[in-house]
Amino acid sequence: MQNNNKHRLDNSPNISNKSDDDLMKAIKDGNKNAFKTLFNRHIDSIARFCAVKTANSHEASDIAQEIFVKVWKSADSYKPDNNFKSWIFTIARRHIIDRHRKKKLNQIPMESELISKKIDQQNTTIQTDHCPEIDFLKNLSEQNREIIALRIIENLSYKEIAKLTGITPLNLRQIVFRSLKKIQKEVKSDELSKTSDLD
Amino acid sequence: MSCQKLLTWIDQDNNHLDTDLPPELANHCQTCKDCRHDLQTLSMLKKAKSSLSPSDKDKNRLYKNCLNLINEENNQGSITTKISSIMNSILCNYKLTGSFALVLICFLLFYSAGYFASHEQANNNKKNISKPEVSYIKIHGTGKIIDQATKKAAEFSYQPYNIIELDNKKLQIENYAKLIFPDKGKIMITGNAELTILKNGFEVAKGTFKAEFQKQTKDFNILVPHARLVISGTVVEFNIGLQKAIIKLISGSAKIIPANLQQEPFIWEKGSVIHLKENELLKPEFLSKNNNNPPTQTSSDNSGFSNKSLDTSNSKTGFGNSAQ
Repeated sequence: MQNNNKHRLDNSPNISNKSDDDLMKAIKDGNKNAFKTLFNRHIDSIARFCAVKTANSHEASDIAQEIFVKVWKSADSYKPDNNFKSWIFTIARRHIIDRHRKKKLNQIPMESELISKKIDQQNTTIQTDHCPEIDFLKNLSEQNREIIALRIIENLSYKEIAKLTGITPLNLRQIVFRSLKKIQKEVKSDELSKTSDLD
Repeated sequence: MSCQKLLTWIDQDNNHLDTDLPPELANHCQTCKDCRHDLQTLSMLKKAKSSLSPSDKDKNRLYKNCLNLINEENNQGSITTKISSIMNSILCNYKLTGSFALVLICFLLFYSAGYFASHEQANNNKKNISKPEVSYIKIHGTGKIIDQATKKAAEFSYQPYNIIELDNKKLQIENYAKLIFPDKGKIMITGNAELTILKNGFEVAKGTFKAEFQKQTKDFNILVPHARLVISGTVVEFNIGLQKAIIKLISGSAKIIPANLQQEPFIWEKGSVIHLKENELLKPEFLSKNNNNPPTQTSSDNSGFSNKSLDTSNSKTGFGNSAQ
């Protein structure tokens, strides 16, 4: 029965029209076409999220590909509830946190000097030397960057983000407001310093 | 209190960056300074959104990498997955009673413990038999891989990891590279360098760069023109030129084996710097602690270094294949 489904999906010309849940069912049966469709559908979001959260665009693609391998491996545990996006972001978050933890364990004392990056999860800011595209987010903590990425860039609802992060929607709203204001302040001060340099 | 009309609009779950502003709000933003600033911030984020997305070429490479990783894992097929899937199918499909299931679990655990013990022993036996090491490394970053035999150069980039054979390959690193050796030892290099990669080390021809060594299971060998450095868990800064070399140990530990093998190896302390000039013999006195000025040294005795240039040739550096 499963094989028949798989065969049908393999040959289906409209595989790209299938919902994420249907694709996950097919992936469960080992369908690589479904995996490719799902990959193409979500790689942008995941790569962007990783880049903003880690503030390192070099590392982000590495992490994104590892996340998709996890998606393949965890297909059995996926419960179809029309919420694939939240599920994959949960995997992404946990994977990045695990990576940070492992990195911290393996870190030798001077690494911080070498890559100029602090990896404290909640309260510290990260230097964005490795990701100039988001230089204006440098004064935000990792958590705040993550929330901005999920809400403003990836368009997740506050409810979904609350589920992912464990922060109440009310607090999330405040964080988004404050972060946007902080970015504005940062951009303004950058502009001021540039003009004073010119003077 | 600043105007928050735009932010309030964004705050609603259905409205987001990709949605066009309603004409009313768009008009308001033209006249309201606060909202205009907010709009600017949002457009910056929109711009970042497009610039952070990987290119089609990168996506293809990432997808291929994913498939490779999946295939690798499928081929390995770990025993734990097998046990868990057997247990899962037994417990779910056949609905066995608790006690019988418990007996089965105990049996499987006992079996798997035995399996792991025998597997480990087999691995230990394998380690004792000195098999040749895999002669490739993984690399990503920016630079070129040059085949020294054919003189052909291929560029390597950030994604995905490039796998390169070690034989006869020279690396020209520009700004940044991460190397992963078969024993999972990692080196992060920042700066510009010209290296010849060896099985458990590299030889530096020239360059100014910082190298951070992580996770080595074995001592790591770096050949510089006047010595072999044996490194473990270390950050080292190199400035190797045609006339002189300055090497600084920032953290970790290192042992130096002078190129002149009659000299005793000596330990390199954290914070110390080695200054070397062409035709000079490396001596412990050359280590200056936290000092950027080269120590005064006049010796240039003939210790096998005469006419030595800083090229990568093993015959000239006098190391042969010692690092391998």
